[in-house]
Amino acid sequence: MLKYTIKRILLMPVLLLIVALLIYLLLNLNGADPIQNMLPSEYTQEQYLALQHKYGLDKPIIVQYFNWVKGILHGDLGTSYKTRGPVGDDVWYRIPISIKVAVITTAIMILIGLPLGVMCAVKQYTPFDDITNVVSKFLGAVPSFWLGLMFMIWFSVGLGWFPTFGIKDGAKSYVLPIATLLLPFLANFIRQVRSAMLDCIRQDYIRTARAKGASESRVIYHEALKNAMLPIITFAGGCFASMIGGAVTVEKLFAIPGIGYKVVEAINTRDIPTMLACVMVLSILTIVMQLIIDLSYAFIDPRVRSTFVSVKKKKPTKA
Amino acid sequence: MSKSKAPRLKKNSQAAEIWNSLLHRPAAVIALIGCAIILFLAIFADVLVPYSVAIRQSGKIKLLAPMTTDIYGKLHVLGTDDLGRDLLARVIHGARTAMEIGVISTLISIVISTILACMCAMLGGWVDNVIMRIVDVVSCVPGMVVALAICAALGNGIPQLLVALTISSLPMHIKMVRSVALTVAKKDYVESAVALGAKPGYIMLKHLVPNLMSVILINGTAQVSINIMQGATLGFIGLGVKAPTPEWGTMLAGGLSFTLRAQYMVVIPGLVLCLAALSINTLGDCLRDAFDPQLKGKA
Repeated sequence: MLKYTIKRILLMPVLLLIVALLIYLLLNLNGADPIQNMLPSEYTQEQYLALQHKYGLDKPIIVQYFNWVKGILHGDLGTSYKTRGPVGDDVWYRIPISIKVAVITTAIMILIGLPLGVMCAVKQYTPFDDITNVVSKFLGAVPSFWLGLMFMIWFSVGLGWFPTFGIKDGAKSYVLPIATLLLPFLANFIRQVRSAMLDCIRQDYIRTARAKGASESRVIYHEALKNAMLPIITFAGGCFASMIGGAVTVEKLFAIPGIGYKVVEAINTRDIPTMLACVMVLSILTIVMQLIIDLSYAFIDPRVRSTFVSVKKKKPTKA
Repeated sequence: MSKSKAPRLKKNSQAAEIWNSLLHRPAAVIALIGCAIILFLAIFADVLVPYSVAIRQSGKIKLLAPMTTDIYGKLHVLGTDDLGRDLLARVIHGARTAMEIGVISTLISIVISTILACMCAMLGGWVDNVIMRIVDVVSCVPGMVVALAICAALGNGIPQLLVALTISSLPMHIKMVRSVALTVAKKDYVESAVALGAKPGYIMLKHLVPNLMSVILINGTAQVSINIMQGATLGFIGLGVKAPTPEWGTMLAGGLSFTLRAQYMVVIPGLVLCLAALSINTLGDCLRDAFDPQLKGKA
């Protein structure tokens, strides 16, 4: 288990370097000249060359990439083409905001979605199940940027309950963005929990538990839910990773200064160092999330845990 | 001597069985009607409204509310936008753009992912290793960010959008199809074909692909809706199709500045997008139920 975890952690930098190289090459594909955007409309050749040299853009792309990697190893994420300041400061300021939004949204999604999904499965084909199913299908199809706009029109402009943009009003400013981000994910999460639970409820061991006289709540929460947890955790983890990277539109719509908003800003201004730093951060978070999901399997499911143990035990006999 | 007629057994094909099963579900029928309407609009957009109406700008008929007649005596059922373009015409031609984006990108990604997944399952070894490690690398970055980066690099336009959406959806498809292909590749009939000396290409086409059809169709239907939504999201951000191509996400973004004065400009494209996604998602769910009766009612 420990060996597997260490192997996965050691693989991380390699994966990140390949991702960075691909993104670096991709962003340099379009041939846009960032130096020209930085200079005033009338500039001299000397000014151009000086700026090109300052940002290291006079070197071949592959050399630029290795210089960027060298900078990363020294804790320097590069200099922004737009603000001309260190990219690191901006990125470190934005990460906690994005993570905060994603953590709160995931927590609410689990708190509401898990009981609702379980109830739907237990009360399959009842009006409660049918209504939840139809509502979740509809919410699952709503584009988040449109939902956000509708919320803005109803609750901010119409009723004046929440601020329209920014995060200056503290907790109140996060209500609409979190609700916008939450609803489509919650809809899909409820359906996922329902589906996973239905899978388990029909198994023989549930019938056995009932035959042995176990109470209904024990059968549902102890026997069925415990076994349904693997797909539920995989989905919830995937949602968390998507919320950090995929909150681009919600962050842009509500002007939340998170990492997603920065990605869009960096793309529009062709700010390659900022874009790279954001992609790196998002990739690290995604890989860490994937590792946590994989490791959580071992904690929840003894069958998965036993595969690690048996591998460990078998080794000496092989040698 | 009279010949006794043996009763003829009528054997339905799997496609006919699935079609019959779909027709017996009210949700599937509604979803099929929804999808048929979108397809009809996409195919006959030019017959219904000429493309020029969807892009023609006119300063005199700007921001007309729905069901308003303009100064030329022409009725605008869904109103006009800030540049005086008829919204109904843009919604109809937007259906064509949405279907182009959703269906073509899904088809390309399904063909590529099926070929790669079959290669992984049939050839195994280093081929499987190389393909899956590339998939691992691309999976590190959230799909939306991959699409954003590709659009940023290649610029605006439908072909660029197709490349972005295809690449961003490939890893998930390859993983899903490969997992099923690995199981099918271990079946006795595949092993017998190998033992009889069949070539990998023949086995893939004759044995693997037909048995992967259910997973391909189900994932493909879901992917069409995801890609339409992602295309609209990219359009909303400003990285989608080139102006003045009518596209629902771009239309919504265009209405942002007029949210207070002309709410219909943001409500209509969003609602259409939502209904399209709902129809396709429901059809996908019903298809899954039809393919696998054990799954009935689970999703």
